[in-house]
Amino acid sequence: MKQLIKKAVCFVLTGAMIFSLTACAKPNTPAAAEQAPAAAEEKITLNVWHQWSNDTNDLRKIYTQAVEKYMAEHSNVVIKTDTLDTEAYKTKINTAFASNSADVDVFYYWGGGKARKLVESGKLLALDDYVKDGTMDKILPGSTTAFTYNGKVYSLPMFSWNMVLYCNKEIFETNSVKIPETYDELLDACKKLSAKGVLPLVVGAKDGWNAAFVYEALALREVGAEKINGYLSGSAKFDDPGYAEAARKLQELTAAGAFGKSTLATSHDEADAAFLAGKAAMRLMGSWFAGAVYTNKDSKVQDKVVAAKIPMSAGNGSATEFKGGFIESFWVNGNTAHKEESAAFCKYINEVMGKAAAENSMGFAGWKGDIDTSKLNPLTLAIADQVKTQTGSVLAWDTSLDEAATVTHLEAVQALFGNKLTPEKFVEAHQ
Amino acid sequence: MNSLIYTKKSIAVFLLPALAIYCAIVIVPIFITAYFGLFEYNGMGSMDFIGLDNYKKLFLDDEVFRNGILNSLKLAGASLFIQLPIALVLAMILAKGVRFEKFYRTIYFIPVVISSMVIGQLWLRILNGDYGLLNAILNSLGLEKYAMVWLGDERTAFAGTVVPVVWQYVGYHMLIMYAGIKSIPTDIYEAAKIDGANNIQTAFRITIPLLMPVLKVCVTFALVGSLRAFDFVYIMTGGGPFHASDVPSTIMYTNLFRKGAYGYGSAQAFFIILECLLLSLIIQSLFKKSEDAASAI
Repeated sequence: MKQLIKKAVCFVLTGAMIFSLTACAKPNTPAAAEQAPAAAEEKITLNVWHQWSNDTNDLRKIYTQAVEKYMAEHSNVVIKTDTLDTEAYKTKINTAFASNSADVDVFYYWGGGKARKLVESGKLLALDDYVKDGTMDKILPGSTTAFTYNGKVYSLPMFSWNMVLYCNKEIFETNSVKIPETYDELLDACKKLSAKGVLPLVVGAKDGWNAAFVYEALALREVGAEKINGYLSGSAKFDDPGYAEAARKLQELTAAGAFGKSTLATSHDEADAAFLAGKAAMRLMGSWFAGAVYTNKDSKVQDKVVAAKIPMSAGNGSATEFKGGFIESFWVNGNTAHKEESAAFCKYINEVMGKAAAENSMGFAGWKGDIDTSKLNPLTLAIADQVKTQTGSVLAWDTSLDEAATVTHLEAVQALFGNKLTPEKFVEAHQ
Repeated sequence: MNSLIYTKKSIAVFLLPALAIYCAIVIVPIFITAYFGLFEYNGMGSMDFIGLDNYKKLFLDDEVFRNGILNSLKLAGASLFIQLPIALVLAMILAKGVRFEKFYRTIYFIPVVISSMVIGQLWLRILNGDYGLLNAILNSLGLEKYAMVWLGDERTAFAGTVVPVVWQYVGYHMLIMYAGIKSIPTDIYEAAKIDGANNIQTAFRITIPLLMPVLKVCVTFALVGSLRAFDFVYIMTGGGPFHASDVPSTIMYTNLFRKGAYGYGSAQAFFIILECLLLSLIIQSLFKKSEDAASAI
């Protein structure tokens, strides 16, 4: 009898173990998506992912409001949102789309080189059929460049950013230096400020993208937007002499002490903090940084900052070309069970968020129509004013190039900062 | 006889689930990683079989990875010859019974409890070139010429990340050794004392030989820990400047998650696993003799 009980217990236990193991083996049952259609009024659940995971994030607030409004207007649609922090978010997207990606319908992502991998593996839904209803007339011309692959539109713009040379005019005045408009003036200003013990242009070169901002700004002026965009999209070679000239100028600035001696050990956060604390005269950053000048609690430079353009040089670039553009937006999973509804929501959220972000000094909307500028801070207004003259623009290279080329580019720029590469070798690394 | 076989069977049956789980989450992924290493694969899309090319590249062409391995060996050396001796000395002093023994034990153990993120940030501040504590001390001593941007300079960046690693885990090894020393029977010490042995002699002839099994554990942890070190390098330098402080796992991370080179990254991951396994085996065999001697007593 005892043995029998033993046997029975043993059998049950192993059975339970095997069952739980096999149950673990197929976690990807699309539970949420398949429950809905059975219901009487055909409620549809859309799973939406984005990367604004922090409750204090303004974009998250805008998103939440927009979704509530959408659900009130569309009683048959339920939006289920999931968020993760940026780096974890990228990994989540990668793993989700490496398998069958059935858990998500609409998701936030970056265009250009980032989404190319997804497009080429057929993971995304092209929106051409869904935007024929006049949607394309509502968006600004040229704002879908980063979302168009092989002639098909995969997403719509939300809001754009632009690179600005933020200058602390108080430091410039006390040291009687002129705010630079040309490269020569920039070099001169750096030399003078550095000689007086002031950090001229703070760069968080420990983060490759921040180092690359400086090189890409110089290259924009030396080479011009058209050729750079050609290189980034793969239709032109990296052979313009301006590329090497920009690298040479970067090293000239380094030698003049423009970035201080610890730039390679400084992260972009620390660089932001140094500028906001009034410890540096200049910061080359995106327009999103304008908000921090006013709202960051440690900011000591509220009324002291002016927005200058990227200094001009004798190269091929034109003064109306800018660095920046539309890169972030919402996309539709090609594998979604609700193509129509997902595309509709994708259009809605990109438009609403684009406009709301523009009204809150977080970027410039890609959609036509009135934008309430009453809440904008003075810096953003000044930047908006500059952008009006725009004839061409180049995105940050690390968002346009594919992943491997991005790492090569960023590492090469950091090597330039550390005098590890000659301009010639730098160009070679990109070819 | 019958009952013996029966017990063996039931033992096997009860061990099977644990074995199955172990295989599923440890052994199988190792082989899957090795398998992915045979492909050129960007995480999605097509997987192109390229045979052993990734492994060839790893051993023959990849200067950065070679330097990473060298760095991890340097770190292993620092753990072995700096960290463990300090831990051993501290453990022996504490175990001998000093005043405030518990207090010191807690103090030395505190760094182990703190997250490496926090310690990394702490040391970032100490080693900062502009306002760092180290440079401030050098300046106040009149040694300005030695002040430098510790983590931004190729010559010192890696050393800068080694110091916190060594510092953090001294307390950890100390505690293991301390427990080991406490478990050595006191009558052996008494006998040695009667025979007229002094402190140094008891340390080298009794404590250390009897501590061998514990020391083996510490050496294994320290070495394998060094080979797969990641956190401090990632937090403090990100592998830079110019790969000067890269270790194999940060290089693997870059390949897997930033370059999207899943095939090559997997090959590197497999190499790191192999390297750790091989080293643990070597340590096992090196310690075998002295361990046998210890257990004979």
